[in-house]
This record gives sequence, structure tokens and C-alpha cells, in this order.
Amino acid sequence: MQMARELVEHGELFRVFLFRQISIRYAQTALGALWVVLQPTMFALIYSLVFGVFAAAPSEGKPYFLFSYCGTVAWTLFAQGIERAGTSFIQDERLVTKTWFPRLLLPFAAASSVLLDVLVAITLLFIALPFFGGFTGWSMLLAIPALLILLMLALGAGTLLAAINVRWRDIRQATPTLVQVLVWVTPVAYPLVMVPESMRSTALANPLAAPILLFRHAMIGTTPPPAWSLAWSAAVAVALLLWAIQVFRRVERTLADHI
Amino acid sequence: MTSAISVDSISKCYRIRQSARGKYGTDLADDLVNLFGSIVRGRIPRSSFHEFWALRDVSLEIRPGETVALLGPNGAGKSTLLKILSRVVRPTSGSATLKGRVGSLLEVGTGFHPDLTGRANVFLAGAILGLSRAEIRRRFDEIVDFAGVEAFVDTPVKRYSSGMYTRLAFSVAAHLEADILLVDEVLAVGDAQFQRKCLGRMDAVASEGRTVVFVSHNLAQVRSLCRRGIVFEKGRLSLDTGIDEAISGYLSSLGGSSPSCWIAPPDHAREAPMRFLRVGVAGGGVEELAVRGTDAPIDLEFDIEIDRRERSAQLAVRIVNDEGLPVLTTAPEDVGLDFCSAVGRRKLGVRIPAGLLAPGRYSCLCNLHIPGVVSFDLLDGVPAFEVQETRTTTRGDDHRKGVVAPRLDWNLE
Repeated sequence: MQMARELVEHGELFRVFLFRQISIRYAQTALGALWVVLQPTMFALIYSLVFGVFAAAPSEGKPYFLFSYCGTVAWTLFAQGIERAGTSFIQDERLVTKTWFPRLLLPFAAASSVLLDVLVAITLLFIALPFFGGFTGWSMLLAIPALLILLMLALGAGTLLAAINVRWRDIRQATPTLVQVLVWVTPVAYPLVMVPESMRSTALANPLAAPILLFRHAMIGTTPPPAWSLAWSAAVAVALLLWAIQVFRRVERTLADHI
Repeated sequence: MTSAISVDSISKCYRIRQSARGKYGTDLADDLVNLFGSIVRGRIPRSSFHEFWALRDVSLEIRPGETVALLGPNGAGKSTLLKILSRVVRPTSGSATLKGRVGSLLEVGTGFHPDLTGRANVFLAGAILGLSRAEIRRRFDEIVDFAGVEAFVDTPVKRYSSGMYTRLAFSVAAHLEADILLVDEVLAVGDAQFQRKCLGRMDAVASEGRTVVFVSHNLAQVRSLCRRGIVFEKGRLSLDTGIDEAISGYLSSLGGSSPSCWIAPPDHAREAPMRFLRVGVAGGGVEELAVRGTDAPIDLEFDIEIDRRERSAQLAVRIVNDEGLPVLTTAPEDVGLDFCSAVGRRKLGVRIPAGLLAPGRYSCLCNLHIPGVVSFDLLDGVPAFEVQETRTTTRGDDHRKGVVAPRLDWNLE
């Protein structure tokens, strides 16, 4: 309760952290905002080549590039979110060892800063959509819950990693590997129908799967995930986040001693 | 009366792990090996911690509006207490209660991000204090004005000089209307003029009824700002009293640990007929090296205790530069002064004229002796001091090259 109150009192700090993340990221790279679009575009191209051309995977009549681009954009939110949150304390070591503020703000702001990248990427998608069969209509709004679930998963996992990262730096090396593995078990680059029927519900047990499918459905009108899988994802996301906060509160006490 | 700060038997223990590979620090691999080993052996892992108690059972109360100095040698626990008060570190046991908004400045540029501009950093630092944007904006001009960085508010602070950096950091902490201001050693940097300005500001903060807790090794600063002094020794509170008493208590607890002001430990040269009690650079701080400009004279002071008069005993002081070269040797006898004319405590002083010594570091060799016969008390290396160039010149770095650097009389006919 006290924690919630402190978080609210430091609302301004959250905003500052968020803008700082963004401005540093965009100010220091020569291509700036272009990077944000370039990365999913490159991945989408590779996926289109490997799955769309080599493996001739079905994409429900949509251009394969568009199909994999949607998956990649949603995936970015999770992958970048977990990565930025996971390293947030180490990045701001001086702040953590020399000042006090509700520590959770750091991983939260770090993960949330990815939302801007995603928005930029979605804007590009909106520009492209009219040339590929137009918008999906109201169901487009389903992108919001999809992104929300992904963000919560990123916050939960990222906060856990951030807490562990302080103690054991090895986690920093492990995060990209983990993300790499996850991207292949989640239907980001390929359609769910490529997964053998018998394994499909196992694939949907991965809480990342449903929100990715939902986002793609919202953007280009592919098959939505079954309702149970969405509910499952949302439940896992909330549980993970609460658990992460719980663990974090225990680690928080000794944060400055270990960093 | 309610306290602004209430510290209730706080202890802080740092557990420093000695890992299997003989280095300090924690390693996931080591932890896994330990865990695995203990599972195999079926017992709890052997503790390989080295415990260090930074604070032990410290309790104190500070009332609103008090200005308190925390004194003590390095590692005595001052900074740890300040960190606990600013909530950066949690105590191992005990608790601290602070009433009101706490502004802390634990290090120069605390919380500044080098890539952000001065402006953005002011907002960042303010937000850490829990202020709203409107509150920070209201104070913004005053902060920037005080720091004297108006022309650079939109420059990333990584391009700031260390002086500008410090000034802005201090200014933010001192202007953001915290009820309690915790300041650690930050005024060690920055020029004398700015230090005075900062002290003035802290004075103003205190006179507004806000509480200031200050850690500094500069005792002159401490004396001018604080009313109360708390001395720490090895993590324990050893003295809590008025500032003057606290400073002298602190000084006497130090013994001979300072380069610019040496104080005899108990039983120093006890069996000799005379001995040094204290040698120092006049006005020099205790833990820092006294620094004098080339335009100022340097006064050395010697407190000597004489139990028995010794005919032909002499005091000799040799000044040695940092290359080990003796620059000069001086003695009271040079001017016909007999320091040994009476028993008891004697206070001698000698003045090195302004502009004699070239810029650099010096230390002294002080000898109470009968030349060629016996040395009663010999101190090597104290007092030490540094001479800094104060006049600027266009002649480059080597323009004062030489062992001494007096300004000689030139004439032109």
C-alpha cells in the first residue's frame, strides 16, 4: 500500500525516466527514428524469405511480408521491453546507489519506453495498409489489449530479470538468448497452422502466442486466437507481474549493496 | 518536541563474500557450485562471508532547523549513516524516521545523466525528490542562476567542466525546498568563491527552519555552518555535542593521521627530555593537505613539550620538495632564539615568505636534537603542504622552473 502511494507520488519521475529513455535513444543514433522501423522491417523481410518463399507457409491470403511485419512489431514490445527493463538498474547504477526513489519506476519506465517504438512501427503499417487491402475496421482496437498483455509480460519478466541481474550479472548474457529461443516457439514469423494440430494447444499455452495472434488479427484480419488462450495469456501476465513485484520488494532492500 | 530525524539503534553490516576463486564479489557460478556441493554433502553451505560493521547501534535525534556535522575519519560510518537517512541503503537492524521531504547530495552530480542537458537534469533531480513539474519550473531560474550556468542549460552535462557540474548539482539540491538536506563532502570540489556561496546557501536553508546534516573533512566549513557535531569512530557514535567541542574531540581522536597537522599519539617519545606535541601548517585542515598560493606566506607551527632543559639542544626544520631534494633548513637558532630557555609547553612558529617556494608539494623533516650527538624526537614527512601558482602568466608551464621561485628585483637602466 505504501509502495503504491510512493509510486503515485513519483508520477513525475516516471514521466522523466520515460522521456529520458526515449530522448537518449533517439538523440544518440544517427538514423534516430529510422532504426525503430528498420529493425522490424529487416526481420520481416528475412521471415518472408525463409517462411513465405522457402517454406511456402500460408499467410491467409495476406502478403507474407505484412504478415510477418505485424508479428515482429508486436514481438518487439516484449523483446525490447524485457531487455531494457532487465538492464535498467545497471544502466542507472549511480542513480540507484546515490539517491532514493521507488525503484520499480526504473524497469517500468524502461519497458514502457518501447511503446513509442511500437507506435512508430504501427504508423508505418497504417501508411502501408491502404495499398494491401485496407484497414480491418473496429476490430483494429483489439491491438490495444494485445499490446497491453505483451507489455505486462515484458514488465513482469523484465522486473524479475532486473532484480536478479543486480546480483548475478550472468543474467545479462542470458536475456538475449532467452528472447531468441522464445521468438521461435511463438508464432511470430510463421502462422499457427504450421504447428502440427496435436501440438497447437501446447503452442498456445505459451502466453506470448495469443497476444501476437490477436495483434495480427487486429491489424490485417488474420484468424484470431481462441478465447481461452487469450484469457490464459492475460491471467499469466497479471500473475507474473504481481509475482515479480513481490520478488522485487524483497530484493529492493539490498539493491544498493549489491549493485 | 518532535524530531526531524530520529535514528533508533541502527546497525549496518556489509557482508563481503570471499569467493572460492579468491576474489571478492559474487558469481553465479560460485553460488551454483556451493549449492550443488551442499546438496551433495547434505548440509547448509559453509559461510564464506567476511563481515564488516559500518555502523553499530547508533541512536540520535535531530530537531527541525538544526545544523549537524557528522565527523570522523574515513570508514567511521558517516557516509553510511547519510546513505541510510537518504534511504539508499537499508540498515541491517534498527530504523530511521525522517519527517518531511529529504534532499540528498551524496556525491557530485548525483542522479545526473551525462547525455541529458542541464535543463533536463534539473527536472530529473527534482522529480527524484518527488516534486511536480510546476514546482521545479517555479524554481528553475533561481537554480540555474545560482549555479551560474545560464549559457549552458541546453548543453549535455557531459560537456560541463567539473566545477559547473558541481555547482548545478548543489544548486538543485539546495533550492528544491527539501525539509531535510543531507550533504556529503560535495564541497570539496569547486573554487573557494563557490564554496562560500554554497555555505551561505546552506546557512539560509537552515535559517528557514530546515534541517541540514553535513559531512565534510573541511573543518573550517563545518565550524562555520554547523551548531552541533556528532563524532563517529569505527561505526559507533563517540561524541555528540556542540560543534567546537566535537571538532576538538575529533581532532584528538585522530592522533597523527594528517599530513598537514600531526598530533602526537599518547606516549610519543615519552622517555626523551623533549618532544613534539603537534606540528602543522597554520590554518590547515586535519585530513587534507594544506594548499597555499604562491602569493601567500606559509606559517608552520610547532608545539613542543620540554621536561628538562638541554644546553645546545636545537630544533631544525628541513623543507623537502616532492623530488626528495632539500630546499632549505631553518632553525630558531638562526635568529638567535633559544626555544629551550624554559621547561613546559612551548609554541614556536616560522613563516616561509610568500613567493619563495616554487609550486609543488613539500614535506618537512623536524628534528629536536643536539647536533652530532643525539636526536630526541625526529618527525619525517610532516607537516606537508602544497604550493599552487596563483598568478597567471603568458610564459608557459616552465616559467617558474627551479627549486625556489622568489620574484627577484629587476631593473632597467
